[in-house]
Order: sequence, then structure tokens, then C-alpha cells
Amino acid sequence: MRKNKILVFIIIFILCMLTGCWDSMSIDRRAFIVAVGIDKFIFNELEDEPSLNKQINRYEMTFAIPNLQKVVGEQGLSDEPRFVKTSVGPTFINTYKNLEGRINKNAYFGHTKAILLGKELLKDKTLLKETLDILQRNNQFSRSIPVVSVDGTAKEALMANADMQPLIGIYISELFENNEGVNTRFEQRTLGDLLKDFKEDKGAIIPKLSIGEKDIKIAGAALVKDYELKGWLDEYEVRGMLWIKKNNQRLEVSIPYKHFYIAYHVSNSKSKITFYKEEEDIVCRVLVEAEGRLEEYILDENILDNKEIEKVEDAIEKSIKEEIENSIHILQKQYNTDVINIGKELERQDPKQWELVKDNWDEVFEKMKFDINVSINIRRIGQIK
Amino acid sequence: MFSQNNKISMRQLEILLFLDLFSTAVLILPRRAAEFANQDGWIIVILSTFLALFYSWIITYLASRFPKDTFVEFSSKILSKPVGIILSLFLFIKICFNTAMELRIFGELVKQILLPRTPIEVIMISMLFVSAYLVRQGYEARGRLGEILFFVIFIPIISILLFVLPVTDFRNLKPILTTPLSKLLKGSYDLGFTFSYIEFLLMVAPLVKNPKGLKKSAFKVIGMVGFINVILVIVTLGVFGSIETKEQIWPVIGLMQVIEIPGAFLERQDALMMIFWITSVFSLISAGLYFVSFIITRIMEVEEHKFLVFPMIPIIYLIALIPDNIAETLDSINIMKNYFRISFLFPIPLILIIVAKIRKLGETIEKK
Repeated sequence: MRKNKILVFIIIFILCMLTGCWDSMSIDRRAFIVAVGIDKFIFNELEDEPSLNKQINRYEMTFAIPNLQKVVGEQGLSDEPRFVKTSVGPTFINTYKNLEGRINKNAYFGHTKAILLGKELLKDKTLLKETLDILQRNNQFSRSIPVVSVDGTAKEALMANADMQPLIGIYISELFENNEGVNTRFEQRTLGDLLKDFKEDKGAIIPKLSIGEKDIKIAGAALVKDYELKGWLDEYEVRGMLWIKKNNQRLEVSIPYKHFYIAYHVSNSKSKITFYKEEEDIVCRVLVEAEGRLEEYILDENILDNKEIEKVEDAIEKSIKEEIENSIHILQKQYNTDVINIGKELERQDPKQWELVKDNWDEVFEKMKFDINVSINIRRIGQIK
Repeated sequence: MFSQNNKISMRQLEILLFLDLFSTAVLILPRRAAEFANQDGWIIVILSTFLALFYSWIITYLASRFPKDTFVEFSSKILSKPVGIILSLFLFIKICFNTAMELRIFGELVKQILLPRTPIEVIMISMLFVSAYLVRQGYEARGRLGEILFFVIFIPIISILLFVLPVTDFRNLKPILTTPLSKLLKGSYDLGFTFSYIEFLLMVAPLVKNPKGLKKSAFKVIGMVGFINVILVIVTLGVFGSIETKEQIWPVIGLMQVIEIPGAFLERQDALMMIFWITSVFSLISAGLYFVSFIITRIMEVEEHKFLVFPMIPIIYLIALIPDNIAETLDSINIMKNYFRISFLFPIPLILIIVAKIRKLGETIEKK
């Protein structure tokens, strides 16, 4: 009997001891932040509270939190599909802790779908470096989160009313997913990619987001060198770069031909970079090969003819070559930034040569000659001659 | 019945050794390799595996010469009792320290990734108590547990590696062999110590049913662990490139954040990876705890190791609490490594072998 009593006592005691968990957190107490917008805080006398005008306030961060009840289709207390909150503070972590004083839930970044960087933040070297550090140091941020830059403030972008998907964060990540390998108006960059670009190549391009009336658009890119915004590239300049940088891309090329415009669909492309020497100078030889089908041609003209096809191919090749040369020229002369990994490629192919030039790579890159060859194949021409 | 059953089969020994060797290295190995040789890190890992094979050859040669004795007994037989006991105490201190540091790293990682608000003391002490519960049941219980854990750990890890493969860019491994040879050798000497748990083999001979096959199994296990390590380093370098691999404290955990499991709703895969790693570290810490109490049992010449397990807990726990932060933990591991790490892998076994040959001790002689 006595033994049983002790046993019962022990069981009750253990039960009491096992209930505790320091880190218990109910899922409904969490605010899942879908998108984070980070801006440099610039005091605006008309709109902001006067008490915010302090030296210490450096960041303005915008958080988009979905109204989960609304998203799953239940009747909630609020009709808003999402809540957008802004907060101001001296450091990243401080700013989002400030936010926790204003919302009734715990901010959680484990499900973040997009990070938006404002223009002013990209121009400020210190702030950008701080931001990239925390994004890497804090383990809540996954390395596969898409990152975009905003020509304007990230706050405006997150406040935008996109009618197809009001949650801007999910909108961006879906846009990224959809366009994988199809679109060449921008190149997807995730947080991990960017951190790698900054560390290895010193420069990076971040896709650019523009805010429209009822939607948002991602096209072109911000060019950042040494953690500082150098300028913006438009979508044609980005496309010219991507011919070199990216393999297996699918895109449409339209060129003028005999007073008409013809369209060519690239279904597969690859590029190859090699180096050779020409009187002490390194020359970079880029060979772009692509194949695809002719989508639009001229009515009443016969294209079912090998000579004619070759002529069209030549015209397309010339146009693509110009596009690539234009992009390289801008990267070399205007920004002097090697974001197409030419340096890395040289290191891989010819480590000895790289040792000689790596200390003044910027100058070498600026003067480097490029020998661009494009080879296009038209495989199919459609249903009529 | 089970508590008396202290003999394990060769297969169980292989599995236990595999778990011990794997869990120490896996998290930091790519970073260490990249620190020494950038993108050539995987070559270092291959060389260090060969080094480990050499160490294990010496250790198993010694162990199979005395199939009924542990290190405590045969060192006493060979070099007189006082010297033997002093050496055993050294081994005791070394295993204590290693286990404590492993426990500390475990605590730090769990706190950082899974339980940010739980005190690290609680995380560590609960791990120790669970290990102690297992260790009290004897080595055979560990062997059986190892057989179960093996599948729990390795099937997920291998499938994870498969998911990482699509995002691996093997061009990051180029240019090959640009690191000077001296650096490669220095690195492989250093990384050879990720295999330092093969010194458990010094103690294990009387616990195994057939100690004759010790050498063969050790070679097999080291070869397999080395192979997995090489793949892991190549994949990590391929995903991150050498510069970022060097910067991350735990690159393999970071690897988990990169992958996208198709159709999965999980976002925090690093926590998932932690679960497998915790299971394998559990096996390592319990091994440490077992051998620590086992050495003391043998020194004191008592039969049962059971009642000596709990006194070991405060010792390991307090050592684990000494470092102030993670940097100091990694530092003190390195200091300890610099002075003690080689001793039980190479010089001491070698001296013992030579003296044993001169004094004609051990089984191979007796048979003749």
C-alpha cells in the first residue's frame, strides 16, 4: 500500500514538472510577417510625428502581416486582407521589437516571402551593410527569400493595392516562381544569392520593383557595388547581361526585318566564356548559342527555304550581338562593375593569370576587350510557308 | 538479464563508431576544410581520412593484441601499474573534456535554433540525464539503440543531400589544386582529428564478441564516414562557394535553408536538420559518458559501472559551463586539440606496441 502511495505521488510530481516549456508559443499568438520593407528613415515634417525627429532613428521598416482568418475564407473581425505596419528605430532588431509594442502578437519571420529594399537604403553603405548582416545572422530568415529593390520607398510598395493578390509579399514570390526561366526582364535573386554576390564579386544586381496603379511590376535591376547603389539598369540592359550569365533561358526576340517586325522564340540558350591573349591583353570571348522557333514572319513571303532562313538567322544574331555589346559597354564604362562573373570565370579557367590581375581587376575589366559571337538556329517556322 | 549483457556484436560496434565519428565532424567540417584550402577543401578531407586509417591501424593492432583488456589494463601490464593509471587518467580527462565541449556546442545550437528562451543549463542537463539513463543500462543497450538511430539519422540526411544537389554549382570547386602542398598537408593533419573518437577503440576490445575483426570494421567505418564527409564538403562548397563557407559558423545547418523541398509547406528546414543531428549527438555524448565511467570502473577494479555514472554528470556539466561564449568554446577545443589530440591516437599506442613487443606481451606471442 505504502509503495503505491509513493508511486502515485511520484507520478503526480513528474506530471507537474513536465508541463513547463519556456518556448511554448501558440500559433495564433504569432504574427507571420509575409514581407519586410526596409527604408532609411528620412524625417518628413508634414506627415511624421515631431517626436520621431531624432538622430537615433535611422530605419523605417514596413511589415505586411496577412489577416489569416480572411485568407482562409473565414469570417473575421476585420475585413482587411492584410495589415501593413510601419515602425521606426535605430537598428533593425530594435525597429521590429518596437513593432511588437504595437501589435498584439509576436513577430515571426520564418515564413517571410519577400524582402524589399528602398532606394535610400541602397544608397547608404553603412545601413545596407548592417541590414545584410542581420539578415544573415538571424536564423529566422531563410536564404531562399526573394529580394527586390524599390525605386522609391519600400513602404509605398507594400502599401500598394495589387488587385490580383493583395499580399505583396506572396505576389512577389509568385512572380518570381512564375518567371523562372521564362522571363528575362529581371534575374531572380534570393537572399543567399545576394550575400554570395556581395562577398565574392563585390557587386550585385537586385531586381527592380516599380509600383503601378493596380499592380506592381518587376523589371530591370538596381546595380549595387561595394554595398552602394550605383544606378539602375533597364530591362533591355539586363537582358543583354543575362545572355551571358544565364543558361537555358526562354524568351522572345523581336527585330525589324524588311520593313516588318519578326519575332523569334528562344527555347534554349547557352553561353560559353573563354579567354585568349592578344599582345599582352586578355580578350574575353563569349559564345552565345541559341535555338528556337520563328513565331512571326511576313505574310506572302516564303520562308521554307534554307537561304532565307539563314538570312533571318543572321539578322537575329546581329541584333542579339548588339544587345549584349550595349550591356557590356554600360557595365564597363558607366558603372565599371563586373556583375557578369567574368573575373570569377577567369579565376576558374586560368588561376595564374587571375593572380596577376586580381588586385586591379576593376581597371582590367574596364579596358577588357570582348569578342562576342552569337549563333542562332531556327528549328521550326510554324504552319505556313 | 540485459544489464549483465555487456557484449555487443561487430555490427553494433560499427554502427556506434559510425555515429560517434559522424556527429562530431559534420557541422563544422566544411568550414574547417575551406579555411585551410578554400575550394580544394575536399582534397584535405580525403587525405585526413587516410591519416585516420593509419591511426586506427595502430590502435586496433594494439587492441587486438590484448583482446581481453582495456587500455587501463594493458597499459598497466606493459608500462607498470602507476604509469598505466596515470595514462588512463589522462584519457579520462580527455574524454571528459571532449564530451563536455560537445555538450556545450549542442546546447548552443539548440538554444540558437530551436529554444531561444530556454536556459542553456536546462538544455544541457536534460541531455546529460537522458544519456545517463541509457548508459546505466550498459554497452549492449547502447548497441541496440544505435541500430535504431542509424536509420533515423541516415535516411533523412541522405535524402536531404539529394534535395541539395539541384542547387549545387560544381563550378565553385574550380580551380582545382591551386593550394600549396604544405597547406594541404597541414590541413589534413588538423582535420584528421575529427576522427579522434577512434580512441574509443582502445577501450572497446573486451566489450565485443569477437575482437579479431576489430581492424576490419574500423577501416570500413572510417572509409564510409570519410566518403560521406567528402560528399558533404563538396556539396557545401558547391552551394555556398568557399568564401561563404568560411564565414558561416555551421555551414551544414545553413545548407538546409537553401533547399526547397518540392510541395512542402515547411519553411524552417534547419530545425528539421537539427533533429537528426541531436539524435546523433545523443549517441556521442552517451558514448563519452559511458567510457568515462568505464575507465574509472576499471581503474578502481570494480565490477559494476552503474553507480559511477551519476557522479560523472556534474564533472562534465561543470566543464561544459566554463566557456563564456561559443567563440571561447571553439577556442578551448582548439587549445586542447593542440596539446592532447595526437597523444592517444599515435605516440602512446606506438610506444605501447614497441614496449609490448620488446617485453613479449600480448596474445600474438602467447599463441606461438
